[in-house]
Amino acid sequence: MSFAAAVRMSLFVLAPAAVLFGAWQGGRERRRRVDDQLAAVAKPSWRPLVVTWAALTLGFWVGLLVVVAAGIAFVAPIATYWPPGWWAVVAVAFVGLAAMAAVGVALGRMVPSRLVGPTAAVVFYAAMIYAIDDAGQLRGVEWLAPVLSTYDAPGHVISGSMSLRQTLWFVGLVSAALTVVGARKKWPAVVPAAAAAGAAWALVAVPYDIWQPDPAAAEMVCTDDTPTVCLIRQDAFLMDEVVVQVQEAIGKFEGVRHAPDRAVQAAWFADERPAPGDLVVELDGGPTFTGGLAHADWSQLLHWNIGNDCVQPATDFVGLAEIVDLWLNDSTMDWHSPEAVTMVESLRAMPEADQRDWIGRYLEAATTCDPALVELLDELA
Amino acid sequence: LHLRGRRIATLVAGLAVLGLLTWLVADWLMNRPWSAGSSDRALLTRWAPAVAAALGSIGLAGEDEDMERSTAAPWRLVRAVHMAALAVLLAGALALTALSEPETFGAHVLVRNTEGYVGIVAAMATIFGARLSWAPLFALLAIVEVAGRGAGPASAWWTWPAQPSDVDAASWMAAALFIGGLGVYALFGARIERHPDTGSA
Repeated sequence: MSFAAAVRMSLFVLAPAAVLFGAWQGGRERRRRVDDQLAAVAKPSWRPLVVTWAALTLGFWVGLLVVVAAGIAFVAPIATYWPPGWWAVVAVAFVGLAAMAAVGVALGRMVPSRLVGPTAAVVFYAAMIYAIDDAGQLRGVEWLAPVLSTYDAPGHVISGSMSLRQTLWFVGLVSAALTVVGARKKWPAVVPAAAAAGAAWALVAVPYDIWQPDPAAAEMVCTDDTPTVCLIRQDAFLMDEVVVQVQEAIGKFEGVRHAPDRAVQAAWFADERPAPGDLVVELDGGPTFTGGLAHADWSQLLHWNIGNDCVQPATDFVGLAEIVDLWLNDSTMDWHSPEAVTMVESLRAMPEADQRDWIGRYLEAATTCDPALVELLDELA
Repeated sequence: LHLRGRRIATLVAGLAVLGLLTWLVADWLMNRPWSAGSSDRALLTRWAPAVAAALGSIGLAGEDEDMERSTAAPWRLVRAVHMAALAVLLAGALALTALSEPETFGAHVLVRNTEGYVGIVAAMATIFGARLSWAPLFALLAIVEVAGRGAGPASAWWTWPAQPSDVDAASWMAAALFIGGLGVYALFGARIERHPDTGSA
């Protein structure tokens, strides 16, 4: 759902812009001093208003289509998973933009100031930003905004009923706003306003866990070769690049007993986690703009998941895991404690064969949480 | 007469509303349970001064500039004093809204950004006229917002509105823009806008 959420997130710019230009266009007749002339014409007063809104909306839809088309052009060739209902989440972006344009046009028509556009744009921009940054802490009010936070999107989906409620809310908003400022009789606005209010209540009343876990996105996809590499389905498009880096890392264990032969991705929303002894694949850096692997080398991509589950004495075991992790990843010394760095330097100072022997004994003891792990530390002191 | 011609009453009323809203939002941001302190006000320090500067733009030209300039008044001096007083008024009002924890993204940045924005709006008024003088500022801020949020001090020459208070380059940039805007506006005044139908200003 990351792609659809990213499209919706682009509305943090497009939505305030729609309000700004809507307000500017809504006040155009008054600025040009032709509002009295138009009012005297024997034609429905809503027509020029609807034409203004429709033209503006169409313009913004074309802009959004460019965003969607560019995104699809980058994503489609490499994507390994499309979550159910992603298109509905994207479609709501179009309806949301239409609603923002209508609100802008209505404000421009109602408030006789040329500053209404920029002021409303700032207010709506701030609202969009807080709807993204404080999602989950606004008691559901964030679902009334057309933007969507991308932070919760990986491995999750939004139900079709949720997209339907948002669509109803925005359509009701468009109808109510245009009726209030465009029609001679205002009372018909009650109907869409009631529909919008009902949809808004249905949105706000929904708990934040509206983001539903998507087991299919988090399902592990593994290679058949050795070493085995497992990535979640939605990130499996990176498999070829990750396999190359895992093979390079596994090469460091050549000649070591109990060496790892599996690398598994750790994703916060996945049920299947790396087992003790697995190399852990961290894709926190995400893909690059063109869909490549963001991490430059395996030392940033991989770390070792062994010894961390041993209970007593936990700190010593973790210290050991840190040392072995450092031994595996040459370039990450800056992050670690001075004690760990000193010990790994002692390890590296050993002859190559002794290093492999020490690592082999560590792997053997860590597999069973053997207290002998602590004695291994003394050898590096 | 000058103040009335520049709709100062509207400006003061608008500024009072803006100040109140800014204070309420800043207070809410700072007192949320998950508040990270004054850095939560960063967005506010970029945009509240922008609205203030747009508000100030309504007084950068009179109702009939042609007629005003035909009078024997020292207009360059009047415009310079008007703009300087405007900047002090706007910055002072906004600074009052963020006096708690004024550093990082507080009163200091509100004052700095207000001064810089007023300089930009004044300079743009000489090119686009007072009515549209806020538009280039908003375009600049939109670019900063999309591409410059979280940028380091090295890019302060263009991301200065988004920099915290301790980045000197941002303060110098804002000061330069204010002085530049003051000079250009004092010298030339707002571009005289003519109505498309009547041809009058």
